[in-house]
Amino acid sequence: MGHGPTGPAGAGARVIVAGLAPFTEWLTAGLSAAGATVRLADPADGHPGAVHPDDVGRRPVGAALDDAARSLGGVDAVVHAWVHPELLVAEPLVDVPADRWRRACEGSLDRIWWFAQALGDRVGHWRPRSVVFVIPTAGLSGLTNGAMLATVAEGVRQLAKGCATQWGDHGTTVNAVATRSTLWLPGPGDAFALTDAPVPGAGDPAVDVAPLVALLGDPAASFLTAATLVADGGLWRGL
Amino acid sequence: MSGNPVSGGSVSSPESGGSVSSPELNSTGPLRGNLLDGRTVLVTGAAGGVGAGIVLACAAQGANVVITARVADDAAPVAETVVAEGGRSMVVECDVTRRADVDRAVEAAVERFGGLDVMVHNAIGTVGPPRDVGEVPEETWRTMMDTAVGASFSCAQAAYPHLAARRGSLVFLVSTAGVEGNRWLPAYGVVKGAQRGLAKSLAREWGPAGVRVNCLAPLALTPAMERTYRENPVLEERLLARTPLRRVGDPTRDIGSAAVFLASELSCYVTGQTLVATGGGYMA
Repeated sequence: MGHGPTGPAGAGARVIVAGLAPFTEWLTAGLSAAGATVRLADPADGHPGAVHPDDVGRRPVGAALDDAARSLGGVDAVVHAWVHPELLVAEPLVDVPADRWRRACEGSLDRIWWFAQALGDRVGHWRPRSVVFVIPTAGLSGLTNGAMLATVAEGVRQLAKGCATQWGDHGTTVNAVATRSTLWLPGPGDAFALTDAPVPGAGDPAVDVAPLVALLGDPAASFLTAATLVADGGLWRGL
Repeated sequence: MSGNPVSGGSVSSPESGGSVSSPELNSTGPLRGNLLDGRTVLVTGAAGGVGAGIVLACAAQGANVVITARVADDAAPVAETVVAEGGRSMVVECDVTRRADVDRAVEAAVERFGGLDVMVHNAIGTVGPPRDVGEVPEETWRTMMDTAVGASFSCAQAAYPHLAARRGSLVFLVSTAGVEGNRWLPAYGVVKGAQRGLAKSLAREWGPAGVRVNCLAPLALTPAMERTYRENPVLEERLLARTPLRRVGDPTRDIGSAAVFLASELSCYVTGQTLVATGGGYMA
């Protein structure tokens, strides 16, 4: 996203952000502070629970991406940070009703898959430097009473790797940034009682995630792809 | 899973009958022992390939094996091979995309053998040909989701009370595609990764009840892979070149043995892990 190795990562970049508010708003604030121009692209804006194909299928996702790209005059980076609100509710898997699993867990994977498909239709034309999927660390660590969240997150992480191997031909890197699930929660509550992180607190997308997203779009990171950067205050320490 | 969807539910128990010659199921033979004596193991998608290999390996270690397949008749040769070699088996017709079928299969296992110790979810829909992410048909995606992700949920919920009662084990068959993504089968990578995320969480949730949850990522010479090799021999050469052990795993001897490990007390302190049995083709 930056114009040279000496400039601030993110300066002058044209970035499309899709995901769940207010996370996307905070992320946008952080990227804007770094000098990026950001457009939100999500046909489900204002309807964060919508996951039916008629609401957010591949075609409307593509249309939203096209609108954002036109507005920006080009695309340097695309960021996806969707988490279904129902995934943030702590609940043992044995108590999860089938319809909620279908709606929240499988519905989320459907939605993110369609996003990747719509982006795949465009990446050869746009040739963005960077695509980033922001996910909860739960996919790496597993999460007690958060099985749906972890299921989605680990699926998305492997989607990012698959896309990385395809879109490298276009000069596009694809990475994942894993962070705390609390960053998607509008309040200070911690539904999953994550208490053993070296750095305490819920975290702030603008401060803790946006700089990494900007860095991944910088030419200095052009050889970094199919990776997972973990920015969760040391919660997950698997690597 | 292959072929057409079936209406599930009927149960049969082919415990009699002669041996069936099925070299593709038992080319090198299972390792025999008593690691699973008295235990009951249910394997989904077990009419052939990896699922059948796991069934034969578990039976050779003394397990009662419950073989599920979308079409019961397809699983009969596997069941008959088990019986011919002195084992105990039953076949349950089960389309894993139907929750009622999964519930019925579990209940049938419990009713017949008195409990369930190990649930192995192996069934997977047709993966389809290699494609870019944007070219994967919606039907392929839906099949992957239903058979891998949706069915994992069903298998986990249906099996849990029985596994908890006997401090049992849940195993998901995954793939290295779920560990490192996949260039040509992106949907497959997504659903296999999703199963790993689920397994890790269930390992945390169910550990206090003594239930272990793990994944097994195999490289196996299945009938489908043999067909692929016949159509494109270069693929076999490439695969062997990047496999240090220079062979593709036998479903029974190589992959079944790994499943026996995860099913048995040998792995009593192992949970939340992905065991990669690929002859060294993938190294963490």
